[in-house]
Amino acid sequence: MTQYLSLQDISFVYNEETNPVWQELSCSFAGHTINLLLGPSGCGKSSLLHLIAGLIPHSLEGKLTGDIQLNGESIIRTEPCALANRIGLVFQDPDTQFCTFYVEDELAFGMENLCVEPEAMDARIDHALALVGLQGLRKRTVSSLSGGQKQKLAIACALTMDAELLLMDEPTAMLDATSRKEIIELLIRLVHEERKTILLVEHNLDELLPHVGHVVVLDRTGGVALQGSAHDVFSRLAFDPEFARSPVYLPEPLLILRDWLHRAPDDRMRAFCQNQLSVKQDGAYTLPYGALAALIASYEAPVTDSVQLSSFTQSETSAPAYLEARNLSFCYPAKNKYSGSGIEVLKSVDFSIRAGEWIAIAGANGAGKTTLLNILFRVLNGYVGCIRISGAELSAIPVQTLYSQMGLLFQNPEWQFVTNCVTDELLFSLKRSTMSESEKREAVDRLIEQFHLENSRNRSPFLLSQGEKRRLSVACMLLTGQRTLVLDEPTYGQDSENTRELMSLLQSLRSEGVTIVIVTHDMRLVSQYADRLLLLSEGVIVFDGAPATMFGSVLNPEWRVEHPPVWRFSQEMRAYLPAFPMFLMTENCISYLNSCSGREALSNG
Amino acid sequence: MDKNAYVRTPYLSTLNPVVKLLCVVLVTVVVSVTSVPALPLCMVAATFFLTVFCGGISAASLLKRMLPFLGVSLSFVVFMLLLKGLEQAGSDVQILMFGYTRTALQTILALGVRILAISLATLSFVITTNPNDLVLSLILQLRVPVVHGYAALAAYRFLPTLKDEAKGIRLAQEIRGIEWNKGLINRMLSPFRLMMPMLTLAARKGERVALAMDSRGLGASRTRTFYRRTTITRRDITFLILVVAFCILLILVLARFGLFVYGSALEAGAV
Amino acid sequence: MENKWKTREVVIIAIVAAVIGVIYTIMDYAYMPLSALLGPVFMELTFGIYLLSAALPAFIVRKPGFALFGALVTAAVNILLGSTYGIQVVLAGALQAAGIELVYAIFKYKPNLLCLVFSGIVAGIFVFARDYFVFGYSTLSLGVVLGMLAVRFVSAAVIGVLLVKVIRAGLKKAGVMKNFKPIEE
Repeated sequence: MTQYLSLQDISFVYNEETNPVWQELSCSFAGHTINLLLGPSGCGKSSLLHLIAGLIPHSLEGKLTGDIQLNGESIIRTEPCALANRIGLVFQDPDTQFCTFYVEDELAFGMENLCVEPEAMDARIDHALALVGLQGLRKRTVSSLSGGQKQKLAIACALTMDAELLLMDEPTAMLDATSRKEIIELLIRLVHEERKTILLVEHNLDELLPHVGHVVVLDRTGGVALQGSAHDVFSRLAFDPEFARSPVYLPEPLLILRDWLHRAPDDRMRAFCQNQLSVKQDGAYTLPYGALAALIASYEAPVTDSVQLSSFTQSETSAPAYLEARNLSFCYPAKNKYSGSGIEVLKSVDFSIRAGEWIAIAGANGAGKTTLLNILFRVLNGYVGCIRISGAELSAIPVQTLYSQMGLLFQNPEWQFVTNCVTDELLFSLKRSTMSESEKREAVDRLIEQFHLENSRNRSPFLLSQGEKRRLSVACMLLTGQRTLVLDEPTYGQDSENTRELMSLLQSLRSEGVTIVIVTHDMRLVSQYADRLLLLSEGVIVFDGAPATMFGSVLNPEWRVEHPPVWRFSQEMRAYLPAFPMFLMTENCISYLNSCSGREALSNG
Repeated sequence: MDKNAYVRTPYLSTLNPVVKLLCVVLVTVVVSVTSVPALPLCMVAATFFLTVFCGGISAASLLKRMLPFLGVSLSFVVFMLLLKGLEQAGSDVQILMFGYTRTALQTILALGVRILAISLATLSFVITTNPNDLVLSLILQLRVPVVHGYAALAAYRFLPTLKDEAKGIRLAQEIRGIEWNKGLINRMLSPFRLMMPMLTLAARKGERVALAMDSRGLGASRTRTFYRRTTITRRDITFLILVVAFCILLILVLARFGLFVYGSALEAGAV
Repeated sequence: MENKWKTREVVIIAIVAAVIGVIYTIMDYAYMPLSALLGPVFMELTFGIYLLSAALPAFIVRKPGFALFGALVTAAVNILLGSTYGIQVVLAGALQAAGIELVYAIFKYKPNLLCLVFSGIVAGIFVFARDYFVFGYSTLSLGVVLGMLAVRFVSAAVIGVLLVKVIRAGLKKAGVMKNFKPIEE
């Protein structure tokens, strides 16, 4: 059923703006499958979901022309409340889509609006909770749920209203890897078992790829670049030279292949691409491992280690420890005399960080990462053991001195903005410096260029994109002159393009001697950039060393850590080509493939 | 989860919030029309014991929560004494270098106890009422529009988030070099530094919640069913009648003993 | 002019009002020593700040009813978080809102500087009714009362107006004021 949902010649301009979001956009989506909506950032993907749900133009006003047909019925003039029993919308931010206090009230809210009889609501609530896997949480408060549970609740709300079409706006953007997997599994179940149709805007495609049935790709000008079955679209995005430079997100393996095949294509590669493009079929996309293996085998494989762990030299500095913790324990005090001795969150933690190192602190939620940060930044006092910074005990260092050496970049970068203008924000960091006015201006201008913020000099920091906000906050920290930067979940709510840019900025800082500590659960980040990984599990450090060493061995499932996508890709390739090495870093894989096709000599041995 | 360790919900918590609100308003009015400390004092005692015995809170905890109110009450009395004393209008009682008439002193004390009575009644209300139920009863009993009610509920739901946000923003600003507690000026300005970022984030949250509410069918029909309801039962009416009766009784009894004077005694000319 | 509320406006004002309530609670603690020292005079000085709970919603949305709604939500949050004044703040908020709504209605919900100043003053007068009866200002001499009123009016006219304009301008710059009634000046 291809014409389940179709948009015809949609044009829309927001009320107070002049640039249209879309101009004569026409596309269609398939029923009973997962539809994926892709496109560069800012091209109006979220807005398209709002449009389909009726929020545009009724709640978000503007001038709208065109038509939307759902199952043959025109819904363009229908108000969102009239569509609620057919279309459910799940937003990106788990926190701000609920308006009641308890889980069961939230589930009832939609049904109340639709005038469902109160007696019938109980059964529907239980059914929806069971479908999403939140049974038993009926009486909980919404605020006590985790991010993943909140998104499941949002889906359950749509299910209580019997929605057949679920629109999802980057539902996993603010979740960790485990929650993300659970949501994707839920979506698959909903399509296969409940015959729902899903329209998804999403960047994290690695686990999703085998289950997407139909794809629409938007371009920068507000029109459609590509649409069709998942198989056809992904084939084209990966193998058609026309899309070699497309900024659209692809799963990691396809990105690797695209980079390899289009950088310096020879005849064999061109033939391979042609071959792939000529096969047209419906349904999900599967990587042509067999054909790929044959292509690679046709080249002479360079002799190399079977497990490629890392390519950069360890910064085996003999620099003295900058930050040291010995026997660090922390116990939250008991709430009252009945709760016993309180919760021990950190148990005898030992580690040391040298100046100029890039450290990653990882661990599942609740392992103690946040507590450690709070202790380091003197939000929590009363730790047991000792923490020394440049030899001085943490509790003895005056707070302002501490903050002038160590900067913290929050998960939400907006928390640190103190002015309403980007330039002023940067100048603020220089308040205490002894530079002259013109010197300050120069320094600020230099940083604005370095951090790609030219277009926003006088705008409010709150109007920047997520990536720009993060870069701005790093720039501010730099101007204050802090030599250690701690970043709390820098990938939160940000796409991989911006993450890459941020990381390369950090790398250039690191080469100037800044120590970098990243608290994250994004293992890709850890394996690509960190010198050392401190893995926390239930308050204890279970691993302290190079990330490569950890991934090279079998992982303990309790740690809730998984291999980066390129590793899994290598695993799949091995099934077809036993000599294919296992890669931990994308760059290594690409350079291996390049050296296979004779483009460059293998850089390491 | 010690809070849920009660075997039964305390009596006051089972009452309809709007009815309780009415009672608090009643108490406020009754306590404000007299200028003799006797009535407010009785009211404070009555409210205190009612809350302890029927509200599910221990006397010690209640006293602890009342401390800030006592402080405010006291400072208010002291201040009014100062202001009145500067007028040097009377000489019945001498405190330090100020002279007061008997009635003036009495009135000022009454004012202090009055503030305490009002605060205590409100505190009692807050302790025994679930805000969720309050909003529901406002919507159902007082015909507050659904959107406004749920908007208020959403705002209430965000309170813990807002508190965390306030703490986080404060820390972030301190790390950037703003010293929050150093010196008087900084202390005065600090809440305002919070204001702009928090208000911006609040407006953004509001927009998103509104979109979510719209997408869940808000406004689909004029009427609307309710999963949970609050109703006014016989129990509520009985309670209301009891409270009204108590107030009337109190006034009558005190009037008999000359301890109740309507209005400000000073207006009656007894400066 | 469309004067009926929209869902978005109501929800945004509710959460903005909650934030103001949180900030008032923080202020209660931060200003504690000072307010104990100066007592009611302090209340007059800071009247302009406490006027915000009714004045800001009115200035942002410019439709009837929002001053009252915002003031009530702020008062409720303030009480919930442990304000030391009890249900008084609800009454004060409601009276301020009444004053502001009245003046805004006279100016047909197109607030200019005059409207802002007047609404603050009228709000001050309305709240004074409460102060007279409940806080016993009737016991004070005329001179003292007039003095306090004067401080109150200046606070409302200067701090109140300033705050409201600065905040709205800041919110506009930060991009969250889209689709609110624009300023016709």
